[in-house]
Amino acid sequence: MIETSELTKVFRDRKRGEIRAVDGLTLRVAPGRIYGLLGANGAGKTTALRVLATLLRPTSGSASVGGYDVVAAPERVRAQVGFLAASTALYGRLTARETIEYFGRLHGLAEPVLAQRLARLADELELHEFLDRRCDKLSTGMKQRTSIARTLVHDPAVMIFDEPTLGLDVMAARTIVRFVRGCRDRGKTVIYSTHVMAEAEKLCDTIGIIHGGRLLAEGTLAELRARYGEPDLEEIFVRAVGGEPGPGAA
Amino acid sequence: MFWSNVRTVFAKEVRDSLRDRRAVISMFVVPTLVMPLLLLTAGAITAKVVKKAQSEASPVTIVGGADSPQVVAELRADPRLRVVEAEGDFRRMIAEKRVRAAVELPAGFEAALAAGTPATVLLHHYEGELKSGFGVGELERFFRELRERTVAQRLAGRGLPADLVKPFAVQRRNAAPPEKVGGNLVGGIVPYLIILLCFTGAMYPAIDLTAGEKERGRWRRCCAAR
Repeated sequence: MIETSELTKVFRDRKRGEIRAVDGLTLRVAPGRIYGLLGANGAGKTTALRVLATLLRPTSGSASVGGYDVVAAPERVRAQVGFLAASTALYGRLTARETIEYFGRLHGLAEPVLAQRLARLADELELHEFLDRRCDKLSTGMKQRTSIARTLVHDPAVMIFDEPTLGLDVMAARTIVRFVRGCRDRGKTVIYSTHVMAEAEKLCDTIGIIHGGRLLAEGTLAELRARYGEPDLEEIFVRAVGGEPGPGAA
Repeated sequence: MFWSNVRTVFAKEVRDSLRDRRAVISMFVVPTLVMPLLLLTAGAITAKVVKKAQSEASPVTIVGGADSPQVVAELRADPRLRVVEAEGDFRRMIAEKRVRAAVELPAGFEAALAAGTPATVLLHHYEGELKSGFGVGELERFFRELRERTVAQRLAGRGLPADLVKPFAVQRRNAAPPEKVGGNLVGGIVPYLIILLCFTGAMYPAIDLTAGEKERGRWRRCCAAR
């Protein structure tokens, strides 16, 4: 379960002054559901997700992951969170096995448990072929699967995806989408940020439209379609963020 | 948890660095081979340049001295000095390194010496310039010897012994065995050299592990883990 209440993150910049990257964000994501955070570049998606992953401290408001507050119990939050972005940022000189083991150890897994998890992930994600190859020698797809295994090694209950398909080719993007669905099917709580409408339509049970750090609209795809009188999510998005007047506007 | 994570990160970084050819070269080859070689080469070249500069007769120019032909002749005859005729401003000659130094003889210098009245000889040089330092040093040596000769002549003229103004001598003698002297010199340099080489070796991995990791965006992944 992910819950935020009036979550706000303000950055202070010498030149630009106060920047409210996230402004009063309130949302709730239940286990076994995918919440899509839909927004343009600079809308505040990444900042919100980084707060949830305890990489940033909120300025005000609250956020909890799996019942633990991100400020009061960040270690407990991190133990339950898997964070995946488009950039795999793997250690090129480590093998896939060493990478997965490294993150398993950072998550405090005991060696027998780690060995078990590694074997299971290698089976599930078909890593055996390149498990002992250095990451800088892997193809994009192999890197992506290694990155997924690294994210899952501690079996997190909550998955955070920050534009995970950005810049990937079709096949690599499909691997990610399949993996996200798999997370939902296994009962994980999933929050997924994207600015690709088609992905949000295909994947998300609930869609939140974020713009200028504020959550402007929220609901299932059907609810959003009914509310805006539009079948197309892109049109809904544009109307929600106030980019263009709707057909009904006088 | 904290220390186990420190161990995990440390072990991973060591493994990662040892597989990085650039890091291995920076950590081991540069401090143990390249830096000592560079230092030795630079030291040898400097020593050679200094030795050559010291062995050469220093080009100097004389300002004034028309009424002191004896001193000028002695300056010209000194094997450690090569007197160059002044061309325009002697200061400019020094600044352009055409001469290492210039000696400015006061008017009536030889007459003052003969009369026993004090006089001041000015030595002009290029502050901080190695060869100019040698040149002015040679001029100082020349005038020191001239002064000693003058004192000796004056004493002799009064029927006094030359050692009247030098009643005793002071000499230094090394009491330590030569190997200890060498060891002391090396011992004074080596620890500093080792510290310097450690810093040199650690520089690349340190930059790679901090700024490099931040640039590659991997820190975020580690921070997202416990």
